[in-house]
Amino acid sequence: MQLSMRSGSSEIQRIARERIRILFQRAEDVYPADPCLAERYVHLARRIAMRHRIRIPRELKRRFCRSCDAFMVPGYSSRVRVHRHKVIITCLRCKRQQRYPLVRRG
Amino acid sequence: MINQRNILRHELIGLPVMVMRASNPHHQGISGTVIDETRNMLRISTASGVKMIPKHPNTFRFTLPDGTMVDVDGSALVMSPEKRITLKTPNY
Repeated sequence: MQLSMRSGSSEIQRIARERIRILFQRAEDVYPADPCLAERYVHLARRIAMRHRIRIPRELKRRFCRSCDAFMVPGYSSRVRVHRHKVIITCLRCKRQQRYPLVRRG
Repeated sequence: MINQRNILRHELIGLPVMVMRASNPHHQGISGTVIDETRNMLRISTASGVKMIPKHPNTFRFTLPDGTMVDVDGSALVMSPEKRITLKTPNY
């Protein structure tokens, strides 16, 4: 049933995924000139993801702050540090910290 | 990606646009890039500043990434950007 629901809305989900990628691309392009607009694009992308229950791809998930929607550029608007086997990404605007485990594979 | 059939449901931000027909004659002929979208308005970055143009009675000409131009009735776009994806019948 889950599968049939998914295939029924595949067109919608495909467009949603494309739009999320486009919006993050635009956010990256516009960030140096206007960080506020980049934040707006992140907000729109997240709204699309939430409404259509799409996961934001992992590489993009780490480019924004889950708490304030800011687009994060390491070194400018975020701090990336490795501490006790975790990658800690700090949003420099709201100081929210996100921790990702650092594990050796294989 | 974006084509004539799914333009109503796809992302408008970043597309070059021109206002073809507008109820306000001053809006007619404005061209630039879409930089933001709300339920009722498009925010367009032009050579003479950022303009807010209502979607409703106006007709827009979008240039798609592959270079084709599509005329879109703005009334069909009146919907919040994330909700437009669910639009049923594409007219273009």
